[in-house]
Amino acid sequence: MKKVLIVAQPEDSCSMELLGVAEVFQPCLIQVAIFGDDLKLSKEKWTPWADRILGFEHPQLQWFDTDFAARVLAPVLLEEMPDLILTSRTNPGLELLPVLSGITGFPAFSDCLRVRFEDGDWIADKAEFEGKVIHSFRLPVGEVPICMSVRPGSFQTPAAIQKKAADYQLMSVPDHCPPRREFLELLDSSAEGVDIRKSKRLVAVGRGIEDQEQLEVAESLAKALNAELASTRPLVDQGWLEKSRQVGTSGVTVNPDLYLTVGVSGSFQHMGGIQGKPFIVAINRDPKAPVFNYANVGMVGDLFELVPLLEQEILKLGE
Amino acid sequence: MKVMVCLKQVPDAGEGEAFLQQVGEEVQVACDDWVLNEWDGFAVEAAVHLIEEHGGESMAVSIGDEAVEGVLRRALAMGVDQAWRLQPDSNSADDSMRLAHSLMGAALTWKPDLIICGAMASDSGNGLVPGILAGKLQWPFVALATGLKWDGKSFLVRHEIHQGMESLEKIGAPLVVSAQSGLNQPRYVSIRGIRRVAKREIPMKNMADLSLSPLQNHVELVDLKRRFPPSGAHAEILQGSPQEQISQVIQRMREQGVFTS
Amino acid sequence: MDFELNKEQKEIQKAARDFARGEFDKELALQLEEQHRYPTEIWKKACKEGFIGMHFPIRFGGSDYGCFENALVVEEFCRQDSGIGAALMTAHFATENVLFFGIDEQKERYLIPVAEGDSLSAGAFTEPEHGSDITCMSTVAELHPKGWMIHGVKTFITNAGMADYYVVLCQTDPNAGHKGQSMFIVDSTCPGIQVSDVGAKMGLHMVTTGEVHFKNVVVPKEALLGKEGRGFYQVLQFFDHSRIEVAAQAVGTAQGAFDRALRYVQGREQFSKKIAQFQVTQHKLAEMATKIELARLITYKAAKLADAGKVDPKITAMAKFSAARAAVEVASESIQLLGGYGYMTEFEVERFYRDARITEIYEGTSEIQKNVIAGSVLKGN
Ligand SMILES: Cc1cc2nc3c(=O)[nH]c(=O)nc-3n(C[C@H](O)[C@H](O)[C@H](O)COP(=O)(O)OP(=O)(O)OC[C@H]3O[C@@H](n4cnc5c(N)ncnc54)[C@H](O)[C@@H]3O)c2cc1C
Repeated sequence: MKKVLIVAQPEDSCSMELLGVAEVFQPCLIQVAIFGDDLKLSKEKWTPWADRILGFEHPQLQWFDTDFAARVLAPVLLEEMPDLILTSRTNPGLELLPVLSGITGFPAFSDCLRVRFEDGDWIADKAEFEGKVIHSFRLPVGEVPICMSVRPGSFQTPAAIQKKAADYQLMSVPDHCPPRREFLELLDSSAEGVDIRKSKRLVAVGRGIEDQEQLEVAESLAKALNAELASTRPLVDQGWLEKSRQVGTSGVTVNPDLYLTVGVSGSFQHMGGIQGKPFIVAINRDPKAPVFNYANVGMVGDLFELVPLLEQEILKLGE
Repeated sequence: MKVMVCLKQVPDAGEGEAFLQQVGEEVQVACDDWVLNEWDGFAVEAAVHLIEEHGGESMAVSIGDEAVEGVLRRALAMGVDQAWRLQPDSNSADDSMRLAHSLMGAALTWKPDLIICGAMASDSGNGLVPGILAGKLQWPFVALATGLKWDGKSFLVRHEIHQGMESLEKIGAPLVVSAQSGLNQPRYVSIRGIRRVAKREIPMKNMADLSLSPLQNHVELVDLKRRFPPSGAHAEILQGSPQEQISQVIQRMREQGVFTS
Repeated sequence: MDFELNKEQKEIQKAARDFARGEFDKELALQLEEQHRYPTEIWKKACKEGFIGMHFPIRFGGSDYGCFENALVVEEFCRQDSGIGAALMTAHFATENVLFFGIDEQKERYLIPVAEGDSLSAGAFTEPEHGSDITCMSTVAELHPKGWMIHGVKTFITNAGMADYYVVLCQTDPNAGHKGQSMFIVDSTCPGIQVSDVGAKMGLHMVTTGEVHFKNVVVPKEALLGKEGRGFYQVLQFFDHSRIEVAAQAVGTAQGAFDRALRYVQGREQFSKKIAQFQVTQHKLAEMATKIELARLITYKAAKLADAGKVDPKITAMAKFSAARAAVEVASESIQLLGGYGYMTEFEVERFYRDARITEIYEGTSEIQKNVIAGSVLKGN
């Protein structure tokens, strides 16, 4: 039977989705490695889903020190030799996964979107060129353990699988493993400025806006719609908008009713910050922009033409 | 302080996808215009800046054929002190483990205190090489740095963690860091810089030069084909003149209860 | 013939493109244009990065590149913005005279500050009575106990009032016609210099154009640039180079207008079709692109010849004449493609058109270029 080992990151709300990947490999033995200074809750969470839980409990894991985690986990991987080692492609996942691969020498596959079994081979897909193409790889499952990170939102937590009751094993953290990263401070740069997390209507701007003055076009649309302005990352990096308006995996998570994008390509790092089921309207001049995969309604055209027209029409409604 | 930066050349994507061509069943990357990976630009700037501030030496390395001299020269023109071109592993030019193996050779030979890579490459989007390199070297690794300082004893690294949060950490050398956008604003390549380095020879280092033995027993993922994703799968694309599209979108928004009237 | 840029030239082109994209901001350009202001900050930065005077020797502040590399930069700058591009290009106007004919002391004193962004230069050749025909100048320089005394009026002088020095063409022997002319470098701080406005102009709003009066301006002996009596020939030699730069300005301006038009027609819909899908549009685009490419080819050829020490006045004249024409035609068609929007300042192509127009006029009108070409052809060259 295949062995799948899930590396559950403490702050990862999508880690249960990794069970969806494991499901493709059923029947398989599911092991889950959990980390923290107190594992009670995550142990409870994973018990029904796993065959075995490996608990790494240590004060250094109070915040998720991926360097420490990788060093304590790697020897276990070398011993267990699971077929597949899974973790989410979150920011900490971007640290943890390749380091595990480097220490163990197991090959790594990053940012998996899909896995399927086809003509006797395991095939995995990932996106390249910011989603412009999909690239497939054959995974040498069974030949060597494979370290794989999975893009959050790409798999679903299985609705129901046979109830399991995991064995729990508290792993010893070796003494020869002194922490090498000293945590000083947690910074929340989106804490200052307008809070758009509760806004019901958002107009999101992206790099289709080419300089700061052009923001006005979107600002006045937002005003007409009685919406707040949201942004993709590049505009925030430029310093044109506050960090608190950045939606996405490294920004805030929003939960609006209406999300209207203007010159946004629709990268998953941006769209990943949208929760719930908002009505999404996209304006982009590239008919192939990935944003149209997320939107309900799309308009292909120049934002500088469409946005002012839309604003006028909305103002006519006299809302 | 010695700082090594690892560079990759990527196709100049610009806007659109002209460089991606459908050939039969698959999509091929057809490109003769290579540029420095955007994230690597932040890495170069960080390296040059650290050395300007604290003294020492910086070096850029890139793995590949002569074409990669372009990005190395760019780094030199921006102020990096030295550059090495590393001969690619003959087995596979773009396997992350093999790339990291060559870089490890460079690191063990040149002995930097800090290695900076871009957070990922804009073509593959993998972000694997810096972490694998750190794992192989057994050095600590911090991804997605948005701040990087040296306090005389340790590095102070600010980097992105979960949910839009960042953490500030103190880490001793040697160390691998990957640069995220926002870390800095890379300087321009100046004409004087280009001139200064135009005649510089960029040495090529092979496995033997780096005292490396070939990677043993490494199993690679097998590269299959690329294809375009199904597009517009979800959205209803409005048709007609702009004015007609606008009326329709207002209609749809009204159906969704966005407007009360 | 080699039609490829070498690696270094590609790097230079890319550096210029990155700089222009990063620094030339559309809103800023519109503002500077409207307020008739020089892009001082961008100019200083461009000097810091080594773009201005890159064809000077290293010891005089440059990077020892040629006319060709300089043309690549001018093209990229004007492509990104016709106005800012022209303003940066003219920052070192007439310095080639110092470069070609000056002695080391003069080069040190007059080239380095231009390359380093501490001073702007100007060339004072045209006079109210002598525009295209400069075989006899009314501005005279007479021997004076302290050196020379200059008297006369020069007009349509780019950078008038802003420049730190003027390269002035004077009659030193009134009886010897063009063989009695000499060149001088005159510091703008010399007593007796007065600058006046020549009125509003069609384009080139970011640079000043003025009339410079020299009222018994006394300059030292060392102000003489090159040889006494050789001024006319020096100017011609200078023009053989500077016209290549103007041709590059024209190519860049044409390309910039074309880029904008292309973007527009791909975005805008009429009769429920993208304008770019209409064959009329497509043919226009084809013609424009062809004109630009041809202009670029001959401009590069002229520059390559100049760098090889084989300046060909005929080819240079052809380059300037045809590139300037291409710029005006392409910019004009770009306006047409944008229709009503093309006529609006906001959409920039009207500015490109106005800025393109000067390339058919300054540094020898198109008619003068044709004279040069015809003269050469008739001589069997
Ligand atoms: C670790 C990591 C974390 C990240 N976190 C985030 C995050 O939290 N939030 C985030 O947003 N990004 C994030 N990013 C960046 C993300 O990958 C994308 O680069 C970014 O979202 C792209 O922003 P964009 O859509 O504005 O720009 P682009 O991708 O450049 O898209 C611009 C779009 O505008 C269109 N356009 C251009 N001009 C016009 C016009 N005139 N009219 C109409 N359309 C036009 C173009 O067709 C294009 O589709 C992160 C990246 C990394 C690596």
